Amino acid sequence: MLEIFQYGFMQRALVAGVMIAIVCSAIGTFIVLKRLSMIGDGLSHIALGGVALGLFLNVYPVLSALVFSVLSAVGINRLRGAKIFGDLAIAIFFSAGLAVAVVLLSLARGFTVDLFSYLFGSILTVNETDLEVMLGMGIFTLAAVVIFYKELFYITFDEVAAKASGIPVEKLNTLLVVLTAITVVVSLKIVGILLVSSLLVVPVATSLQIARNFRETILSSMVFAIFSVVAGLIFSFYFNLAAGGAIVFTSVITFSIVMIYKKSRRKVY
Amino acid sequence: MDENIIEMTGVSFRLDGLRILEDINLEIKRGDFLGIIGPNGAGKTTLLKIMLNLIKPTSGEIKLFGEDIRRFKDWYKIGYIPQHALRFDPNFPASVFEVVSMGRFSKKGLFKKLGKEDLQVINDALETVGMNEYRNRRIGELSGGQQQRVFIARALASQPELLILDEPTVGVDIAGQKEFYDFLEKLNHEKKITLVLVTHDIGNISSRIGKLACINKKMFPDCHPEELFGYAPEGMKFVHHLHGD
Repeated sequence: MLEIFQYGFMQRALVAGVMIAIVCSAIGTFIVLKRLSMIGDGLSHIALGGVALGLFLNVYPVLSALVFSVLSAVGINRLRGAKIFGDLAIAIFFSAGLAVAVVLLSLARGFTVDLFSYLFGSILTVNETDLEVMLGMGIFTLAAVVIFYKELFYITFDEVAAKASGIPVEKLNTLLVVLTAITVVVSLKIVGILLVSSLLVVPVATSLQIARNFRETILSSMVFAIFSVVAGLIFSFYFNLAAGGAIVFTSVITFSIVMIYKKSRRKVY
Repeated sequence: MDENIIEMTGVSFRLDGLRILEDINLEIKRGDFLGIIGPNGAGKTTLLKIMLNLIKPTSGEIKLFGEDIRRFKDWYKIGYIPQHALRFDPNFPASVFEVVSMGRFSKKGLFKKLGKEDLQVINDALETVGMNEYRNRRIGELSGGQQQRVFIARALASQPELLILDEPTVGVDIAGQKEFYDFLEKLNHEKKITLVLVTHDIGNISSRIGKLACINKKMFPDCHPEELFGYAPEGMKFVHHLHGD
């Protein structure tokens, strides 16, 4: 057996990583096509505030990050509805989250190492409890996407027509940002706050190069994401690299290769 | 069949103090084919959005299928083809089949997957608009006229009793328009679908339309558009003819 699978932390990282890949692509497809790509960035920095608060109050940081980002997601959606431009709503919450993190950081210098492990991701710190929490949140998110697939698809493609046909568009928009918040928190420990949003966006961008319909977009971005996560983790293990960086780097390379391949084919035909 | 499908009484709409619509009274009966015509900014799209409960009027009463709009639930009975159904991102990865299947979603309700009978209805809708052979194509790859037909198929997939079309012939050439009105007439006669169509272009109004109303903030039923807007472009003659002048 490969050496890599003999370590408990690698086994946990691989299981959690595959779950993250699947959830990020499922949610990422909707937010990219709704032109909300920046929301992942916003929510991850808000989550940083939540993590800092958790460390400060000695609460499980994943939990405080979850509460923080889910509440902010609902808030962002409210502001968007109140005619404040979408990006601006994200920027306001983004700033608030970051400010909370920085203030708490200056108050208590003791936990900077822990905070750094969330900022950049650290597969070594993923324990059994973390894994269970991640799997639980991931399965919840996936189940919600499967259950509301047709409605989420409709509001992503054409909000006005969806509303006219009686679909509860506002509630589904709220659901989508809440699921995005959960997805961000699920991914924190492996990929790190700074790189979470890349995993939401890049595999989807790759699959958009080749997919012919919506279902294919989701499924092929899952394939690209799983490949990036597994390959990234293997690289990080053998070359001693930060896992998050290796994963996102792999996914960007994959994107480039697929794009070049597509361009070259177009020239031939 | 004299049942009122839409009944509007004294409907007004104001936005930031501006009068967009004033005292609109309108009755649409089952089987009608009504054209609503008015210049740009006359409030046509606003009127349609009020009918669809997308925006709420400042005052007035609206009944859909005899039911107050605030209590109306059967939205699948109304097919809506928005102005620029062509407004979506041409790179959106949705196949023709997927777009048409959206028409079933509301009827199906939450938590339920599409079944065999839904697929049958979707196939029929694709056949009706002649787009079945394009079912696996990406919607953005099609021409404007073809996309329009796909959006009509989506509306038909909810098996509507009323079809509301906002500027449906924008960007469609003359031959395409004739074909399109033939098609609408067929829906009206054979499938007994009530039709409401809105346009700003008098030249686009066909003699096939059964009733004509003009709108410019207020409603002018049975009007002669050129009197109202001060011009009479080509194609107006048959409107006169239509009204027995």
